[in-house]
Amino acid sequence: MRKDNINKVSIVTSILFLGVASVIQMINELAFHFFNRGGLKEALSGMPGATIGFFEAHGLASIWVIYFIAKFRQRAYVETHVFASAVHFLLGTANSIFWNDSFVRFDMIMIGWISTILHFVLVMLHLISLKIKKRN
Amino acid sequence: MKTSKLIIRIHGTFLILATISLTVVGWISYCCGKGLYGDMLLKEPIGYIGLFQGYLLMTTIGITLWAVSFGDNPDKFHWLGIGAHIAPFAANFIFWTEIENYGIPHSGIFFHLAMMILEAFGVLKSNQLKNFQFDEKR
Repeated sequence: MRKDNINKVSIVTSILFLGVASVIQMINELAFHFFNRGGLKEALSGMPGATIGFFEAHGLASIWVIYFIAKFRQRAYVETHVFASAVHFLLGTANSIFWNDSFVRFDMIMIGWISTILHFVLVMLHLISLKIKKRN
Repeated sequence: MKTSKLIIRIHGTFLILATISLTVVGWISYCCGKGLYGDMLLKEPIGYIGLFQGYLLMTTIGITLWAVSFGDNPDKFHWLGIGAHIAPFAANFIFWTEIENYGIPHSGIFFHLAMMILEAFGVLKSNQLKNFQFDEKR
């Protein structure tokens, strides 16, 4: 029972975390681009080009969320764990590499710590779930 | 080889090669202010963070497509192939002025559109729409 909980909790947490974060960020990026408003106004002021990559990245993250939801509904847990761990590892690593250019520069260190730790915790949870699934 | 599988494998391979190349090109622009994104990243280095994440997320989609093309029934992955291009394709139009101002070519539009058309052809070849209609009638 507990093993099955880890399996589902890790996938649902990934879907919620990536889904909510990517959608909110995309709305923020569009609000900044079209109306010069939203949470990114101060951070990206005078840097209109910087939004291009963020918009693409958050769009792709939301495509992954749709994929995870589809696979979760099909009970294809192994595939979901493999790809979710890869996605979280990539995003957590990107946070770490660009720590100074992003979180420090924009004085968002707390958000940086929370999101980066959450990415790596989810990598661990997905890998543990994968190991449990393979063992069964 | 089934046309559907071939399309997914070609698309996956293309995505892996293109996105890794663009990550390297972007890194050179980020570090040295030269290359495709040189002008933009010299003035707005933070722009590389999103590009780095976006390109490598696309690489993971490329690896997924490439891997499933060896499986028995990869037909539904055409939708992932189409979906992956929506945000970058839309970004080309939403950020048209910025892309133009920094002298970045609009050729991305052609590649995104070509890959979406290729995957749409894969959907038609794999008879998914026909099967869907059949199920609806039932």
